[in-house]
Amino acid sequence: MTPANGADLFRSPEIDGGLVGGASLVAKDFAAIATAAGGGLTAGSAILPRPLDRD
Amino acid sequence: MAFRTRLVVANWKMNKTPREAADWAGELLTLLPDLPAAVELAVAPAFPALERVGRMLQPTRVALAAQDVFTEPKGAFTGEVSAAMLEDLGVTFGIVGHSERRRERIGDRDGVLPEDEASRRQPDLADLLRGGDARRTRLRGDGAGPDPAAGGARSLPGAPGRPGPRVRARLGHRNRALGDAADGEEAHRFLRGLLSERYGTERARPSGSSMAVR
Repeated sequence: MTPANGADLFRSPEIDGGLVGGASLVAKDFAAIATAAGGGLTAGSAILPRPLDRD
Repeated sequence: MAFRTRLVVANWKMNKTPREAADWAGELLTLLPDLPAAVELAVAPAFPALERVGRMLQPTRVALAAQDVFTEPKGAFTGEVSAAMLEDLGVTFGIVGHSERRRERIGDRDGVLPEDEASRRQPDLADLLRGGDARRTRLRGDGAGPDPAAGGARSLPGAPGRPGPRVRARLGHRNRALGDAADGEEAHRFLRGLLSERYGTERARPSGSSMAVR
């Protein structure tokens, strides 16, 4: 799975994720694949929890 | 639009020193301040970088994964790492049966994890399977030798039809030239078939909100 084919792969209803090898070594590429997994949406839950969420 | 929960795991293999790993983690958190709740992320550094990366990711939604987990809880197994050691570092996923560990130089075999769950490891560590090599093997048409994906599934504990531990089956595709959607679908179907055979169809089917095999 790469940034180039991630969006295409995640359009499939059969595909629930990916184990990303070489492309994961570059943070920018892994971030692009993660974004593709979310259907291209960048908004959502914060990766870092807000202070009130920490317990 | 609703999405099934998806798990995307960075498997770094034998790359990145702890310092390089920490740089990557810092960069990722800068690049991805937000992500849809239906996407789970995990990173599998080499063992020496687990603690440092784990400390950085601990307050985040990015989970820590191990690239391999040994079958036994402790003992005279030089160089191996147990599930309990990994869990103590905050690891929540472990890759098992990876095809690269099954090649000759390392030589992990089918069924490397014992059938008896009680004798093996902490039940909360989820297994990740990798099935992408199956298609490559079949496309080569050699048909000889153990099927890496089947081997991964055979490494799972639990008898057919009986509940196993949490299993998250995800895969990447080894051969980029084959890494289109059709390949991915075929590989996932193949892997689900194996999981279905092992744990029953209910646990292997894709569900509306999350993967059922967990």
